[in-house]
Amino acid sequence: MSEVALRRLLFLILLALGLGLAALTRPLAPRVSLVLSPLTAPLPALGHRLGQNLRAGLAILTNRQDLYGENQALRAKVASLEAENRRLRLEVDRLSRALEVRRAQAPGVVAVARVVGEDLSGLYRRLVLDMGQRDGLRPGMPVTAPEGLVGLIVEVGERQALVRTLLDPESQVGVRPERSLGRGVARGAPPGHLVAEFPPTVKVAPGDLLLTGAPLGLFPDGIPVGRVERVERVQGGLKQRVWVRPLVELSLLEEVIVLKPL
Amino acid sequence: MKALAALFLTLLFSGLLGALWPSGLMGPDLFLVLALGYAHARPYYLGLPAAFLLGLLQDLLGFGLLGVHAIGLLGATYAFYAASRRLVAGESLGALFAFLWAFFAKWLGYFLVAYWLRLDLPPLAPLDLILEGLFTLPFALWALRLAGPRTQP
Repeated sequence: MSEVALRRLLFLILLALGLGLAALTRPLAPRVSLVLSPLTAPLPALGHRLGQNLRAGLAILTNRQDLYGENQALRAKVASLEAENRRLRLEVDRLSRALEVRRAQAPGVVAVARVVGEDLSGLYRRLVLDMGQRDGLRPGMPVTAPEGLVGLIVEVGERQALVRTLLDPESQVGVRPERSLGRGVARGAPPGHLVAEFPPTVKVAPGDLLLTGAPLGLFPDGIPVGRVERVERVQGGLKQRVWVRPLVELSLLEEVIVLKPL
Repeated sequence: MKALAALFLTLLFSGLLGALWPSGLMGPDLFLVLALGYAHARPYYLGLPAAFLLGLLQDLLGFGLLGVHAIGLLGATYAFYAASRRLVAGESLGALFAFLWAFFAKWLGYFLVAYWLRLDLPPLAPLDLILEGLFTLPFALWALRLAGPRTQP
């Protein structure tokens, strides 16, 4: 018998065996496979698990790339929101200060101006504001901060205004003690004090708070000016000289509130 | 020993590909690759029974009817022997045609069992069959090259 014929014979025998097996085991098909699966399944199951782990690893890598992009986008968004938040917080602070000043000091707030310059010549203590005539600012308008009085506008440009502060030697502010009667005048004593003079009958002591009084007619009544540091008797006891530390830290001022002039 | 290692690798990689291969896409038939690779370097009286047994193993692993893959691989291996006899040994174009012949014989075997058992044919698109053949082809050519020179009858 030739090799081809033998091959065909073997093929036909195996084919018949296969068809017979398929027909005979048809009702038992899944059960037989299940019974024998402990013998057959471990290696494919191991490969399958390996494949699942690989796939999970790839998915993690892909997700990480996605997360990186998303993280970058969120970071940019957070930065933008933080910047806006910062801006809004400053705006709220500014408006709160204006509100506080309006409530505590005077009803006539004209503007909230930014301090853009400072004269540190040593002789004068003046501030430059970023608002001027165009914004309604005029000479003679009091300038305050939430902590207390700052000074008075003495010169106005188109977009700038010059403030003579409390500490300026040309500054004169009518003051009165918060808890007792009596009036005096405080002049600037650079670099960091005011010197107020009171009649000897006025009760004033270190630690007392001085407020604006109205005798000179430049500032609204009741704005905090400074706290008494030292009291001296001068001219043979005919006057009291009071050294006052202003409440406002001028070098730290960023914004001030301009009030309507009296 | 070599054949046993190839069987273990086929089982392992079948599971691996099952997990990695995109769902809905026919993957390469590594059992066909193994059957052809085994038959390539061995005479028919070893190759045909081995393909039949390998097909039975594939049936068991697939939890399906016993005999479907057995007859498919048997047909494929028989066709492979028949084609190889008429082609020049070591020629890659010949190996390509032998594979194609075997691939179609495998599906013919499946359809024969389906007809024998009056089974409903699964809704297979021709594109699926072509893709399976395309994906299997490189593995088959690689396996044939690894298996060494063809046995002359």
